[in-house]
Amino acid sequence: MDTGADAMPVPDRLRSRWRSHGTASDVGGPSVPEADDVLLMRVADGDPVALAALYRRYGGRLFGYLQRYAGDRMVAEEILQDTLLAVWRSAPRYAGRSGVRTWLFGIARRQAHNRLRVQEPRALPLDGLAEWADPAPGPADWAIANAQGAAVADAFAALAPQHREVLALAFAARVPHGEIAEVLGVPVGTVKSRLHHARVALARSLADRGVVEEMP
Amino acid sequence: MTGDGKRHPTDALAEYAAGVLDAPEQTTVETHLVGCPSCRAALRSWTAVAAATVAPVDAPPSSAPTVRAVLTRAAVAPQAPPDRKRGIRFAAQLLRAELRLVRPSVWVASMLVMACAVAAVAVGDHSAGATVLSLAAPLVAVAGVAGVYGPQRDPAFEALAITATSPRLVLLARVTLIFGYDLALAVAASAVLRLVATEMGLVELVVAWLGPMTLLSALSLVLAMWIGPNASMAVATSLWLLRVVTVSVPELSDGWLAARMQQIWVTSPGTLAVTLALLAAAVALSRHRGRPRDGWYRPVAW
Repeated sequence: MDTGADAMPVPDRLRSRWRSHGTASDVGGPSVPEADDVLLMRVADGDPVALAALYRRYGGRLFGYLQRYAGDRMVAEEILQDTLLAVWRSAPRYAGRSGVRTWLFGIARRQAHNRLRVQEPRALPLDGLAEWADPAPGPADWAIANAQGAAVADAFAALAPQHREVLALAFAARVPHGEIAEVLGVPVGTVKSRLHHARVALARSLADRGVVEEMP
Repeated sequence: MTGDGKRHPTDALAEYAAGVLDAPEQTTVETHLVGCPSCRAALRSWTAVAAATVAPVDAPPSSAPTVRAVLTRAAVAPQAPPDRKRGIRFAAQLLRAELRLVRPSVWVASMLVMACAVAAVAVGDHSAGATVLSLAAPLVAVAGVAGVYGPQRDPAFEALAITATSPRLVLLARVTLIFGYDLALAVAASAVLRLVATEMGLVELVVAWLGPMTLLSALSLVLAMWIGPNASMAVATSLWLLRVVTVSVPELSDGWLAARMQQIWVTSPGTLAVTLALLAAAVALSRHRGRPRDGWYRPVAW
């Protein structure tokens, strides 16, 4: 309505394609799917500038995810490089069945598994958490809300890999739950319940460390 | 507690804390939060979880060196080893898939014919071993190979027409499978005969059928792709009948026809060259598969 610059009506498809040179008056959505497509097409054509642009757009979130998932900065950097290499090589095979962002996180996840399976024999038991998933706020929420930064980081590192992963995708990489479901290959409901389990596990991990009282 | 009277947006709170909701969803959650202390508490918890997850994350490595490192790796380490592995795995997969498409009767019938031939030699005149094999093995192979190609014979023809795997590759896999099986059968039959009729050499036995078998199979493949499997079977078996009568009918065994037949159906450089030429023709023809209307391939029902 108030976009003076766009006097002529522009089809939605073209508008989103133009967003890379976008006008400030554009509605700021969280993702720009079509411009991503175009960028990836250029990567498929072997354009390193496009790869750099894609990296600038998603590198931070990919790295956030990988660092929280892998639990180590150096390892995360290696996986991030593996991911970018895989993107460079497999961009021609991107079929558009999922969004570019989902595709990228899927690749990052596969690369993480490739590296971490070799490096880290981790199999933390879920100790029956599945039974007491409680979506209503309870003691768990108090525990997390009142804990201090360093302690939380410690407790986070002690979480089961699935919990670290789902938290990393949801908060470090800020991927919507629907896309997390695609990346992990599970239903959205599973993503939500896994997040709740992760939250409860984090609170329990904090309590076990004696960092916070269970209840105020 | 009561909120605005609607359902608690419990499921949306985590995404709200992550900041990934779109504007209308965000407004809905915020409106609810105003009147709902329990959801506000839950949100505080999600916000804390989000902060816990995000806080220790460092800045990602900067763009230019990372991209340069990746491009260097791409150039220095070509994909060859994983590719080759994938190629082998793919070929194995393809063969396994084709194995399921070949009707069991093809395997059983081939084996029965060869078994009959071996039995006939074993109970009869051992010295006829090479001749009997040289007549039976090509016939078995031609029956299998002619049926390899074409909509009438292939339950998966429609599906194949739209897959990414090239029709030539599929054809190659199938011919490899069937011909390989018939080859193995013929070798096994030769080995059995060698045990029964000790005066024959194994090589001598194999040479007797190998050339005719490959030549007739290649011919029947080209014919199957060109004019259809039924016609191919008819032509190939007619040709083979000529060969058989010159051997089995005493009156014909000394004439001009018999001499020609003995020149053509042998294992020799000449037959090998013709076989290779026919295979090349088959590969060229297979390009037109899936486009039956362009005249090269006519799915005839003769």
